[in-house]
Amino acid sequence: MPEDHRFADLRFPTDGSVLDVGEFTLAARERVGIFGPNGAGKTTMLRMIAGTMPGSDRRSSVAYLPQRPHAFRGTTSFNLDLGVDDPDRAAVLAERLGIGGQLGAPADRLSGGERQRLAIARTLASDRPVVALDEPLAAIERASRDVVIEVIRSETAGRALVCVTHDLDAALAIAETLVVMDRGRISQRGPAHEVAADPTDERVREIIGITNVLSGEVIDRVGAFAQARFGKLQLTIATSAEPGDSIVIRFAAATVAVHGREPAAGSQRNLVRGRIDGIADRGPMVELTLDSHPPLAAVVTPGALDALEASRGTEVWFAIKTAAIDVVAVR
Amino acid sequence: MAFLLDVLTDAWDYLAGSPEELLEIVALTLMVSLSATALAALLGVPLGVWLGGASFRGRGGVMAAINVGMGIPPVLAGLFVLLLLWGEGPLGELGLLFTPGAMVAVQTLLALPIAIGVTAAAVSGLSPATMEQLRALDLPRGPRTRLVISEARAGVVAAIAAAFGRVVSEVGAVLIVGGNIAGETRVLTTAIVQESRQARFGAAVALGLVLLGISLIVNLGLTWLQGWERRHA
Repeated sequence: MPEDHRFADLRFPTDGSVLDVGEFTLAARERVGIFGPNGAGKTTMLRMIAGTMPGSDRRSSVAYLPQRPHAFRGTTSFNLDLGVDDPDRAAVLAERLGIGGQLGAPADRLSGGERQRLAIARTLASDRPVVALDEPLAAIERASRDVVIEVIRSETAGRALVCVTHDLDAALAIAETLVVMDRGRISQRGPAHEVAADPTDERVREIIGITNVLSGEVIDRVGAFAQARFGKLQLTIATSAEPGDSIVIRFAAATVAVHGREPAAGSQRNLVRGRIDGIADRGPMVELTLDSHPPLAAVVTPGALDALEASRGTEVWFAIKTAAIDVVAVR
Repeated sequence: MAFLLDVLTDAWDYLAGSPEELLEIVALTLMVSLSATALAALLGVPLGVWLGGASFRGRGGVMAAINVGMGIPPVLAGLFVLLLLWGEGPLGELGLLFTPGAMVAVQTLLALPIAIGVTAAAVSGLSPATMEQLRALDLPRGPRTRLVISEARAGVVAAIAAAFGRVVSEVGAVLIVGGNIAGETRVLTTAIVQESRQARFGAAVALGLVLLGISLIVNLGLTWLQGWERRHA
């Protein structure tokens, strides 16, 4: 049984004003996304895990992608092989990441996104048991995003990954465990879609809003859409995923319409019937929780709530537009 | 004006005759100064790379000591090496005093702080992102040092140019430990002192022009190297 990776004394500076996490443990094959607002201490934590803070020793078990990868003078190929034990593997990864045609070109002619992909290929080509990535998708254009996520996932299978991002969708797509950081501390840690759906940290709640994150399986295809099952819910999703694929979706609670009677059937709309299980004030708005499995959240104005004449236990219909559903990950 | 014109005419005549003595002096000057610069670069550039990227207690003190070393008066360095190499001195048995070896040693001592200090300044001027990427790569010391030199190449070339500029133009240290022995330890600077004191101004000016020419050629070469780096980056 491979051992956990334990990182003790994650504190900086000595008074912990920037980072005060203490000990952080990664299971041998755990993929962790670290999510949080700017200035939460995410990068400092990753640098301490890699051992690149001034005066500290580089931790040789950790392959590390810094936040702003630098390309050294020389060809892309020269940069790709720096510190890499297996150049063939690095070349294969460069090819998969779409920079295989640039290997002979000077690295300083690469675009920001290409330089990022070069650094990702180099970092993943190492055999180190822990991979630490700082904002790997930051400079990646939309079109290459899925490929980069797929490469990161396949190349970190069987080892530990810790990936810093301020992009929740990226964290959900890459990691199974989500760690939320704020003000230098870990405020929450758990299965990614659960943490994303219900962040306990107020600042994080403000950033991502109230959101529904569901993890399920595609069971059927109908034209351009897929039918997917999430617990006891069955929803129509706009995706090319095939039956049998695992899928993670996300939609903001504010995009959910709440009806007091069953609405006329509409196209591209998912209807979920249930009873109101919770009503909570969220600033000027009100959050309603449905007793579905899994539970869903909707955000409405107090006026809309009055019009519904709804209280706990009232039967309602949640309508979710297919277009409002983001497909975060398909595996 | 007539006096200065006479001096220039004499200088021309001296150069046109290209006496064997002149060739010997130029050859020894180049041998001593280039050897000292090369030794200082071989030792000082890697030390500067390390110092420029290191963070340890007392780094500020080490940098201050190197800055003092960059400005040490050559005669003092000469006196120090003279005492070391003197017959009864700690290294007297080597028998190096009043030989080109002693001159290379003292000039290496003068050039070393410049090679270290200017290289360290160039390396500590590299961007934080570059330094973080270097730490991230976790390379062995040799490849890492080569990569840093390549990134800070303009500064490293400047360090070597400054080191050479200091030793080739310096007179006090080589005079003290070399002794300005004709045909043995006489270099351009000490020869100029000698000729000036004997009022042979034509020869002194001629030697000065040669010294200026060597400085220009070496610095132009290094500048060209920096430009070449840019053109082929």
